[in-house]
Amino acid sequence: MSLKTSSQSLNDEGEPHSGFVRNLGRAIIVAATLSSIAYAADKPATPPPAAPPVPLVPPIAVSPSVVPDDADAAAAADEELAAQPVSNAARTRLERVRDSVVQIRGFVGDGQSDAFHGSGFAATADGLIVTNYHVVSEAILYPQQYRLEYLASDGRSGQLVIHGFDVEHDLAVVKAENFAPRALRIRTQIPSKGDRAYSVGFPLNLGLTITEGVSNGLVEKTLEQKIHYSGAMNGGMSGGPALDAGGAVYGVNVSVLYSGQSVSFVVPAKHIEPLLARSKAPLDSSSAREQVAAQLLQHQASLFDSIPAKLETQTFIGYALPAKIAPAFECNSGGSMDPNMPVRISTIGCWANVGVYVQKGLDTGDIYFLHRILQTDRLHPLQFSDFVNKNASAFAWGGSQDHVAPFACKNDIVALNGFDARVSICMRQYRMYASLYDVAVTVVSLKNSQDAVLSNVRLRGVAFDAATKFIRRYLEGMQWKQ
Amino acid sequence: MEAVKPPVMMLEVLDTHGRCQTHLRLSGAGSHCKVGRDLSCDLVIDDAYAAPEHTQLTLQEDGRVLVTDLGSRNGTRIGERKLDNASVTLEDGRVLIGRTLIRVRTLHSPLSPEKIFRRDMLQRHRTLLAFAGLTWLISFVVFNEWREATEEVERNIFLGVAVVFAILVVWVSLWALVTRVSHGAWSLRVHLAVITNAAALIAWGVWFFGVAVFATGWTWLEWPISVAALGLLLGALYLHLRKATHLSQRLAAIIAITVPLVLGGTAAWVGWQGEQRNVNRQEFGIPVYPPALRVASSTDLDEFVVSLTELKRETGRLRQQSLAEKPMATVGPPFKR
Repeated sequence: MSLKTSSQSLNDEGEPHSGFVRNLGRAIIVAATLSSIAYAADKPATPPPAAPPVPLVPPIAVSPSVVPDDADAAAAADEELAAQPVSNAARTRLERVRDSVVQIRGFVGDGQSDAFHGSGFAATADGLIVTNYHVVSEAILYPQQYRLEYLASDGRSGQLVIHGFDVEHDLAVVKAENFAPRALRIRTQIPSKGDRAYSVGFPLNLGLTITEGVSNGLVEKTLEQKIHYSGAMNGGMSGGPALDAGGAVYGVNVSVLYSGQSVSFVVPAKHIEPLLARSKAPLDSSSAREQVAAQLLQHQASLFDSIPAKLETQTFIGYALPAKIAPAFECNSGGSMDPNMPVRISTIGCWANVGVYVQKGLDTGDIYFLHRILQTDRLHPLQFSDFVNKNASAFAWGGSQDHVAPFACKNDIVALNGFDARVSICMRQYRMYASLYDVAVTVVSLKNSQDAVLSNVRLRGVAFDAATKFIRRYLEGMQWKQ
Repeated sequence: MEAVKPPVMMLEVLDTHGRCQTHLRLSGAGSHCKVGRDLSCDLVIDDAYAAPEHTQLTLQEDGRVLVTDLGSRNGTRIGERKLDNASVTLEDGRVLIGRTLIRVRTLHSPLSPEKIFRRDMLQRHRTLLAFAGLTWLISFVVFNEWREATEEVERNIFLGVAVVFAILVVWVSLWALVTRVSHGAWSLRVHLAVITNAAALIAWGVWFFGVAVFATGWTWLEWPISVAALGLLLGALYLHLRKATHLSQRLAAIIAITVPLVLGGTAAWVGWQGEQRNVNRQEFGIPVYPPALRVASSTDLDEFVVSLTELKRETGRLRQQSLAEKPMATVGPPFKR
């Protein structure tokens, strides 16, 4: 995969260091939103005036003719814009969307300093504004504590009301009374790789900004589709429109890969229309949490549905072990095969790029499993078993007591396919979403005295029945074949 | 006809530990003893709080002792009572002259029955027991370090043994010091025998039972092992106390049980409370040992998966507990300015 970094290796916890899954998880501009929170917290009450940016090109007067009124003229202007040199096109494009893009700001209660901020754009004539779910998630989940406001480029501002959201695709719809800026045109067709594209938003509270880049088509090997945009994106641009060369919205800014160079992601516009259709009325805030849970369950159901009944396996030192179990999964291998080491360890880690941001500090919905194959010809069986014990527990889990309850565990020596194994299953329930569980599976093979398989599974945000069904298939998929 | 015993009194000067420093035995009615700092006294005491001639003790016809204060400034105390230039009769008791305690015994003093002598195995075989305890404790340390180390085995063994030695030195020294203060002897080998044998028994016992649990699958064995280990620990503490102090059996037992249970129990409770709130803590079950040691049959996969429904109940309970301890923000109508 083109986005995957090449230096995937194991850290002490046995997880990929720089695997795409981790980076993508981090990438969600949530982090960017959070950074903007930190920024807001750090800045003084009255920020000092920023030094004017030095323009890279001389200012060019914008001709009124590039802001046409009728559709034909707009199409003609689009063609003209597409043909313009890069910098001119960006400037003109920004002028055309300036009135339609707003900054969305969240405040704690009656506070005056924003707690978080992002961007949004008008998507319908009656004033429905599209943004990211992660921009407004705190206001959705804690409606009594936060208030949302828009700030238009002309300085107008007002309170926003949540109308709908789509957790899986990280979208939300908000609306303000007596505020209906010009709606942007939406195209559901995904731009081809290499097409010129733009992203508009309010990065880091620095004012309305446009960046220019290239659309690189859909990201491969993921379940929920995202468009790869090779251009700059920064915190605060979340929810802003991603524009094609013709000025139509092909997606919504959503995230950036911090470890990459201008590797950004855009939610395809095809998910906007269904959300707008069900967001005509204001959201009943009392049902928001149930809706979040339902959408997360739907998200993980689509992932489990993509996994075939019989899991695809790979064979290592006589063990068949689940590997790339569905197209959305990606696997890598690594380990230390140094013959001087007392124990040689080879690893196979697989994950699905399906993590979903739920709220501050809570990402969920992903699957990750890791096999570690331990072999020795130097250690006594008693020494080796001790080594196995120490490694079996070295699989890190994150989680905050704000979001999850403690784990409850069940352990037993279970007869698997051709070998016995100590199987530990630990589950914990989400505090806010009772139907969702985090599940940890740890398998330690008990077959040979000088080799062992340690297998860890991490399921986040799954339903109990789906989890137990997957665990059974996973354990059935493990087999001693030699 | 039994001959009538002539009256006798025994005066014992006690030190601060209650041990007899010197004694004086007088017999015959009318015999008396003057106590004070003056060298003309029958019993001379080196006590700055005593008068030159402080008290006179006179043996009477009936075998009792007449205690007479000779006009001292501090008086003569018998229990709570203070004599100032006065007299009192006693059969048995303690008389405080200045700061010197004198025990007075007569034929009227009750005699406790003869105690049966029990051979104190620990005291008798202290050298052998200390050597044996040290040997199998160190052997466990060596074994354990060897088992845990995959590399630099010798270095790890050396460090492990050094640490155990350091702990033993501190522990045994402390008890020996207490023993020296209260008994005047160090009893190093006794204390070394107590702690090394208890520690070795616990260490080897827990390890062997751990293997047994893995082999048989009888996880319930963990309870008796824990209780036995705790019992050994308390027993060792009891023996230390008995050897180092003058505490009675009952008091030593009470202290040996209550102090570690209260301190250990409090520490365990605090630790457990912290662990209960750790949402990332997982239990991985019994430690594994070489598969060849296992003799028990394994659980069927179907049976295991079915049993996971228990987990659902338990996770629900933990969630309710978590919500009770830290309630979530309630949902209400959106905030309006």
